[in-house]
Amino acid sequence: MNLDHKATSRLSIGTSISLTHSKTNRVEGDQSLHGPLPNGISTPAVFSVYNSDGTYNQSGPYSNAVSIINEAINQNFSNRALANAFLEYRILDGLTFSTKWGIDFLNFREHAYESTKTVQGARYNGLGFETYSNVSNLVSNNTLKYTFDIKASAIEVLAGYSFEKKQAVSSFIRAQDFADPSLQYINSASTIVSASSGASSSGIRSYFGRVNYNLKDRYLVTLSARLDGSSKFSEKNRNGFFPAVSAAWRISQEPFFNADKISELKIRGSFGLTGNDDIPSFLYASLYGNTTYAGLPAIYPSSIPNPDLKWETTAQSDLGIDVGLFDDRLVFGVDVYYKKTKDLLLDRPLPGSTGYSSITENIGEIENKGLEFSLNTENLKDRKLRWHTNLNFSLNRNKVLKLYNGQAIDDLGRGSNRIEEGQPIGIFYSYEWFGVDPSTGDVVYADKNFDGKITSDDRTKIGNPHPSFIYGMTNSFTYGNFDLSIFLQGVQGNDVFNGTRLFLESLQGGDNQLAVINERWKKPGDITRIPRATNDPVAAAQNKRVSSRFLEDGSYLRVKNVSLSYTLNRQKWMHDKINSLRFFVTGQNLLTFTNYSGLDPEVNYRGDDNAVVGTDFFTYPQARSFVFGINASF
Amino acid sequence: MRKISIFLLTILFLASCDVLNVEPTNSIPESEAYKTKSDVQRGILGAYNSMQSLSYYGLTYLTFADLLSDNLINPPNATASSYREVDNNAILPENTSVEGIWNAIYDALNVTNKVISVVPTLDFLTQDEKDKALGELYFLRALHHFNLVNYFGKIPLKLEPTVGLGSIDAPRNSVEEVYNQIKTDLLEAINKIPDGTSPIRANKNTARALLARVYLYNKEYAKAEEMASAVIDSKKFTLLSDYKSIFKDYSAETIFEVDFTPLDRNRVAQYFYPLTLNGRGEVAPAVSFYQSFDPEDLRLTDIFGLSGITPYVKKYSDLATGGDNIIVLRLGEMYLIRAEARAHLQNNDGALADLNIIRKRAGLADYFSINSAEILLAIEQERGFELAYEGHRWFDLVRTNRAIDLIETVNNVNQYLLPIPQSELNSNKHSGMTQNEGY
Repeated sequence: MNLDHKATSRLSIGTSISLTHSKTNRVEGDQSLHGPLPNGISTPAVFSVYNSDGTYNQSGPYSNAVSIINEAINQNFSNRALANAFLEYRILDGLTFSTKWGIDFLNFREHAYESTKTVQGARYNGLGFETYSNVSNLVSNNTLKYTFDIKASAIEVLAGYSFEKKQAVSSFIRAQDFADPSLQYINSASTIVSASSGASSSGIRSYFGRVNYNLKDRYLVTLSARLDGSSKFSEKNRNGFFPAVSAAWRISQEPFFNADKISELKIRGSFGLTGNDDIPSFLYASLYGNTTYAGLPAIYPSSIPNPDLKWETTAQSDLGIDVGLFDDRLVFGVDVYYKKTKDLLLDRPLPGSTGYSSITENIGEIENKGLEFSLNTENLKDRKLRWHTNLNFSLNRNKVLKLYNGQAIDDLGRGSNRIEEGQPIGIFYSYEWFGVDPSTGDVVYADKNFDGKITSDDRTKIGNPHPSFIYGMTNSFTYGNFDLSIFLQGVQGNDVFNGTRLFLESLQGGDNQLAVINERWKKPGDITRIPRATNDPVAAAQNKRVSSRFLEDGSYLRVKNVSLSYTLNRQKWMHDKINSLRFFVTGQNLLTFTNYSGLDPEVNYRGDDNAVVGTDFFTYPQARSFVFGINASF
Repeated sequence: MRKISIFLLTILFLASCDVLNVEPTNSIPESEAYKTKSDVQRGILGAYNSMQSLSYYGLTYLTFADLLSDNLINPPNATASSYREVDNNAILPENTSVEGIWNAIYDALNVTNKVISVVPTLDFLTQDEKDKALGELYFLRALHHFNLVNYFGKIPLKLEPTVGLGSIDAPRNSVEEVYNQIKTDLLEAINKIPDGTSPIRANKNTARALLARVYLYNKEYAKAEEMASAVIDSKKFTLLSDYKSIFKDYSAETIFEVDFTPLDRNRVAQYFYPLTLNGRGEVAPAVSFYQSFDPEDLRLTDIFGLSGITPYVKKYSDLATGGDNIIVLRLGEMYLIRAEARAHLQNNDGALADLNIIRKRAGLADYFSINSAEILLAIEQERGFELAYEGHRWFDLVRTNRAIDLIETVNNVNQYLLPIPQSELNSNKHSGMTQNEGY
């Protein structure tokens, strides 16, 4: 709901409020060993889904995936209120004060229950979770703006002040031993095994200023600067100063410019600093955590503090050109950029012998440089059939320039990512495999230091999770009232570590095995890529090491989205207030062309972690989805 | 209008001046942590708490001492590949469970050292209170070092908490240096702590009992006998006639145990119980070991349950809530330590007397006049039965150099030590941090 009101000629005020409620039924995620996907594909097919009496067969080495899907309840409920208010007051002509306040309340409840029909539920005689959280985020943005003209120049000066405060409270209960499978709330459980609640808050405060200068729409210059303070850093390092400058020259507006076919020609350039404080709160302080021992309260040092933490800053330079031809029927833009990030906020692993696993530090420097190209064309225009194409292409090269004392950070995640000076962030670093020895059936690894043994010193760079380039193309067609749009997306030249094969081609244990193990080495002379099945424990352990054996080309081209719609303009039979109706059908992830052998090359089991990248570990593939819908406009 | 503006600016100022002053709500700043005597107790309990880790007494540390040996296996249909390597005595330096043990024990050491460094600085404690606190903490530090040195051999000795990043790279100290520190800490503990009764807090006898084991491992038999006798003669502990009630929480036989509750649960029963009983079945008794029991042995049905015809271990049986306390030291072990020490000291009668106390409870016939070598073999076997799945077997076979004879998959003494975790080697840049031989 939006309300705007012009109170006087100088004052306008307004508010907007939106309320949403949503309920989501979830399946347990891929990160958890208890999800249906890892259990389903790891259980050998010899275990039937149901027993002869119709109950779930739980005798396999993993939980029965069907029992989890059907019997585990996992629901989310969220209530969200977003409220904004603004006030704008024109003090003098050209001088405006504006203040905007926004608050975002989120109330989130998670309800989960497993009856004794799942393995986990049976182990605990019914297992239930109940989670509540309340999050509030208050944002205030206040500016004073002055615009004036000097001859042909238009100038705008702005000064501002803003702050943001985030608060979160949450509570959690886990209970077991439920009285009856039909009772799924905690009050029917006889044992509460875990209960806790907690709160956190953080804040940012900024002062900022900006000057825009525009001469005859030909020369455009913007200068800006901000001073940001973040509660995540200690008092001495709280503030970060981030200036920026940008300029553009629209050559096509110059009087001397007269090339008919060129409708727009613009050169742009910018340089600026930006800051990042995306780390948990209080890492700068020495803190004690709370726990209990034998029912009594206990404390322990919870983290190793880093009082020197400060803003991570990125300096970015950008140079671009925009060209429009034939009345903008063909528009293209090229941008090149160079970004250098200093004081990178990263977790540095510590030796376990310190008692801590890692410390967050402003560790080093990293650079990103790249090129972006986009092309828009109106292939068919002003006819019954219209056709518009958007093409984009970009490449980025990433390199770690400096780390603490030059020390590499190693062995991150399942695929053994590594951060090393002179290399892209998160390269795959482990053993290089040469294939299967036809005489023994065992895997042969590269002995990089020629000492006759395969030890950790033989690890080497085996792959790069970053693509050589990415590209996309959207074609949109309009024919009468029909609209059709097809979006293709592609990634080329990246490596993916298929960690799922680590288990499903292990040739040991109770895991289900992929069909490819039928090609395993069976007798001397066999040339194959799958090692022998063996009882020799040393060989079995060696053969399934994390190595380039499980690294695959992750390039793909995907039909990401196809959407077809039909617009029905106002008809007599429609209600007065309806202007038009649009019927549409959309399909996502319809088709993928790739050599990747896993379920989906476009995944990472650690989400958007910036160092553990390009690794598939029983990761849920992106869903193919179809949406049918109707839009009405009034 | 002006009034409204002033009003708004005032709100703005009030609302914003404290955005950056946020206080932690789930943790206490270090400066507030130790203000009262009860804070000190909380700190000490925090040190005990770290032993509950899943990688420590909560499961892995305890279980691997049997899985590495000849009485426990990772069954063919189990799925934890890090367990498979341990069962096969073919362990890679990147084994995550071994890394977990290393990290968990060093975490416990760091928490313990942190309190040790704070206690002497607290003016509100009397000397007696400081002694008692330090004594308990020295016991814990000795236990952690002992548990590390037995698995990994040469290890970094840690006597100070990690503060800042100045000294994070540490070399490995010699086994002798580590043992000397363990003995120093335990003797200090015996000096400083009074007698006590709670099996979840260290007292004089707890330190004596651990020292008896330390001396035995170190082949200082006279001292081992002396310490074991001191514990036995203290009469604070009772040899229970019913074997299975030893494993109930706070039993009268237990000298020291780690507390677990449904809120802080262990995973021992979960890993030992078979799939058919809703456990995970990652470990199962070796059939040869199960069959080596005398059918008359009363312990047989207390240690093992049967699922169909397949035995499983049920010493710790709280599958549902994982609240079983895990025993670290108990009186039965003291008799066996003393028997072994006496056998080495050529006191065969004394050795047999202690050994027969344990056999008698198990409903087995006494041993009579056999020679020292035979007695030692009998003790080795009896320890195997009596202390099965309590985290002893591997260390017993390694310290007596018998692992190579008895364990099929051990054919090189290099396998007596676990590999130093790869993560430690990667991040610890001290030139004295090296891998064990053979890895």
